[in-house]
Amino acid sequence: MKLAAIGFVVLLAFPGFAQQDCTRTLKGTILESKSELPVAGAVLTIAGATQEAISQADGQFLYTVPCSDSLRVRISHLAYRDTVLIVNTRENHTLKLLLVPEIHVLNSTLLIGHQSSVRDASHIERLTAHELERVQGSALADQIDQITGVRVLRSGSNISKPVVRGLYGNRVVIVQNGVRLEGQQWGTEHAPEVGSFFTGDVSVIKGPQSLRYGQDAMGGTVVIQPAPIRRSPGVSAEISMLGTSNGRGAGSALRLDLRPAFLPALGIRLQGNGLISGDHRAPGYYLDNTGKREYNGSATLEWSRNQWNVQAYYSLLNTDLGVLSTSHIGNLTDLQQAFETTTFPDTAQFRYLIRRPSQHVEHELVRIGGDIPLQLFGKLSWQYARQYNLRQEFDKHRAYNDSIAALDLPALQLEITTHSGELVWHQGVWRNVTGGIGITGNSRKNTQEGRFFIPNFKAQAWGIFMYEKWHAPNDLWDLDIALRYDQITQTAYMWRDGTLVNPHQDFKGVSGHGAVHMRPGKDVAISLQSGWSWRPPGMNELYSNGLHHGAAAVEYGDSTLNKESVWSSSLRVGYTPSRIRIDMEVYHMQFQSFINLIPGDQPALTIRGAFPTYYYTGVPATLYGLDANIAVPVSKGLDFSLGGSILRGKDRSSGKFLSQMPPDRLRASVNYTQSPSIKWISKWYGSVSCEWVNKAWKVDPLSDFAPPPKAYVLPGMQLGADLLIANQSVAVHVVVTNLLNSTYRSYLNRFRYYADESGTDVQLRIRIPIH
Amino acid sequence: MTQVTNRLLSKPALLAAFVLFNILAVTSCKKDPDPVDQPAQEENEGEIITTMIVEVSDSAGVLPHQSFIFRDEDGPGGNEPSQFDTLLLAPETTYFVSIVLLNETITPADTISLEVLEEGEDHLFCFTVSGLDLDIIRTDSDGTYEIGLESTWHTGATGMGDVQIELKHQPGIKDGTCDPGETDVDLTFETHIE
Repeated sequence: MKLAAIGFVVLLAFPGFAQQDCTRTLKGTILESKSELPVAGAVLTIAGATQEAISQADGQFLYTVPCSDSLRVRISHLAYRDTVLIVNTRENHTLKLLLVPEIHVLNSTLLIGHQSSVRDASHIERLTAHELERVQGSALADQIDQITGVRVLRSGSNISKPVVRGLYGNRVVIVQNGVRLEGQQWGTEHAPEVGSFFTGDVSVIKGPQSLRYGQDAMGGTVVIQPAPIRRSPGVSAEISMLGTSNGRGAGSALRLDLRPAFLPALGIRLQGNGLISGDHRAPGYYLDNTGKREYNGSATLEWSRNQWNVQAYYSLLNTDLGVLSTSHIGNLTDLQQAFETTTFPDTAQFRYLIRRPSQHVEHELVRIGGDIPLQLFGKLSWQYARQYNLRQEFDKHRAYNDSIAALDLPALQLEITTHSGELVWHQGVWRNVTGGIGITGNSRKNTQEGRFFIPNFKAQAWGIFMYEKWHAPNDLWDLDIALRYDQITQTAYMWRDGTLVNPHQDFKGVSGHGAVHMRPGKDVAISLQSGWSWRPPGMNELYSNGLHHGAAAVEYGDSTLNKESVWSSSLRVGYTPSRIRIDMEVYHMQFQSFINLIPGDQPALTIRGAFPTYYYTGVPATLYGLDANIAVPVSKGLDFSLGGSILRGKDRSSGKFLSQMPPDRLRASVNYTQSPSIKWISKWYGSVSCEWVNKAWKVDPLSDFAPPPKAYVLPGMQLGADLLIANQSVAVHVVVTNLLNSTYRSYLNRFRYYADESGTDVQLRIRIPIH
Repeated sequence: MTQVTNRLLSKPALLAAFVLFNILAVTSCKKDPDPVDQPAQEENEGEIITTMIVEVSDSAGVLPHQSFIFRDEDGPGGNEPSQFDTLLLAPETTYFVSIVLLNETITPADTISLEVLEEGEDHLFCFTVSGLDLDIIRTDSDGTYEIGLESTWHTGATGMGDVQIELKHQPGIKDGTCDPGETDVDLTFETHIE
């Protein structure tokens, strides 16, 4: 939906010698946009013609073409964005074409599925670095929440997870730097282990289109792609700063890019950031113990020459999160009391200090990977990655026993170490067909200490996938097809009734998807997609057996659960009459088995009283929904946009609507952008927005402890400018959320029982790029 | 700017970057020391309360000493509680009652009620009687407020009903009432006065 640039084309046209016959020869050179190094192997095609031309090692090409006032020439190369050039071939030309690398050289065909371009109704939504700049320093889920159809599942102010098509956790895959994130994504109170400051862009692929990173992305895939390291020799840096009024937070990030003049093949990037914030404030009172600390760092080394490429990457994330103290309750009576509390004694003082309950999370990633060019046969990409994830959860209550309490141990500690590797052959372009084939493998080891929630386990998986894309010569349609086969083995290690047991499970299966992208008219694009995907049951779904803190429920896994599988189909239409843009998407997901928590009929008796019980059960379920967006330019610089999403989920066996599904949302905004003729302001913008979220009125009232919260309206505001201060460009953004300091509760917040959402927050962001 | 650039690009700087990268990538690779296939047998979180013993003795010393027990060896969830006694009391009698809490996941069992006594100013036992002629008075103190580990129970006429025993954790917020804090124990004993 975002207008992803199809690539910049610099056309230096020199009128050649006029000729009388009806073919012309296009001559020129193809270069990479930043480094201006020649690009070999780029394919030039014209719609309807059988002949094509390929650029040589020095980037030069010769292409015999028919005469036309406006001939469309497509330039394709795997590592670069497709570019369409419209050229008057009644005259001879010498062209200089600059190609923009496809997101990143290393991961050129990272998104399997159709690349978005202006004219395609693909299911990929991309937020550019520029759009992300306005929200940098917020949690990942909050950053991508601006995409229609992407929602946020919260556990209080600090913990948020992205929800795509109503699904989250194990059903949404997050990929950073080309590596699939492996943490403890199964828990609703586990935020994805991604830093708040990242550079580059984020794509959300809705639905199970992207088979590249696994067969299990039923909701979708979130791909975070770093900006490429600077291409020309020299140093550049970027300083980002953030201040927030709610929580009195401050953060800053520094990025340094280096490419030595004596060794231009080598690129180095160092990045670091820190963030600190204190207790958030709801209208009228502080949310006790909602502070946050985050320290991250990363380093990249890249060596590239003649399309050979090797990259080494290291990153470390370190987060401490306070958990709202009133959310840790002892039993159902306490929970009941929490519901009934409508007035909050403002006893909590603002504090930066994080006390119990809290979480400590570390995530370490080491990755090496590269590309081996095979000239006309495409290229080979390889990658190895190791991830280590540590999660510690500290309960509100210390141990009674002083000597144990003195150790200050977490009540729950999980450590997961993942090794993964992949090898992908990206075939060259041949007769409008591109594609590739790849194998992936990974091995995971998890250990737990403390309160039992999921067992120790080992898991191994391998998969093979292929994808092909055919671009019709008449430019009117494309075909996508992808297939994948996976085998997954998992063994759990745990004590049951005094004996060590190690149940073992094997899963295997095929997944696939196909899509047709059509452009029947000059302002219409239609995309139809359908696919099959599956995932093995998660360790919590198989083996959890105990009291879930904060949820006031006893959850039981089912070790006999089989895999979850879904057919999902969607239709997307893009319509752009004049300058109005309309995007609409309907989708339907038919789950053969949707693993869900179903309330049990017998409460569990514990020393803390009786608790309701929930059982992980595979139920037949259907999810369907609509995401729509319209953008209308009102006058020069002024535009209006309206977006909304509706989603319903139903358990087909009981006929009941599923709980925890995002309620309907509608969002409107008016944006104004101007480039004034003032020397020190190159551009400024202002925008006012309003979000309406409906009550989750379809939810079965018996599925929850308290009725869903009321509908609410939230206005917001954004103001920003690109400034030039003493020859230094500075970008400034001010974002105000919950403008009227409204008191409301969100159905998608697991802590909705305990407290209101945060009040007004004024966020100031400053970005200074130094070249 | 160019001068700065040139200086930054000198070889020592480059070397430093390499060294930094290597330090990051090699030396700080974090490892999980725990063996996957040998999980710890007990919850080494510290503790859970598995057992509550209500020790009952007749103040006149006539009736035999009795212990009524709730026991859930593996804590909340997992297996069902293995023992949940009915309190059996005689009419028109005054009893001295003391409460013992144990963590029996470890051997020897840890007496949690000793810790409760030690942190008396953070804890309060609450007794709620329903359907019975029974008066319960807490007899111990943390210096300011009662605790409830020790109490006297005075029974009236015969009957059947319930006694709910709650342990409230009220760090810094104890005011002698049962309202503040979170609940660590909440057991409702079926009680017969006969």
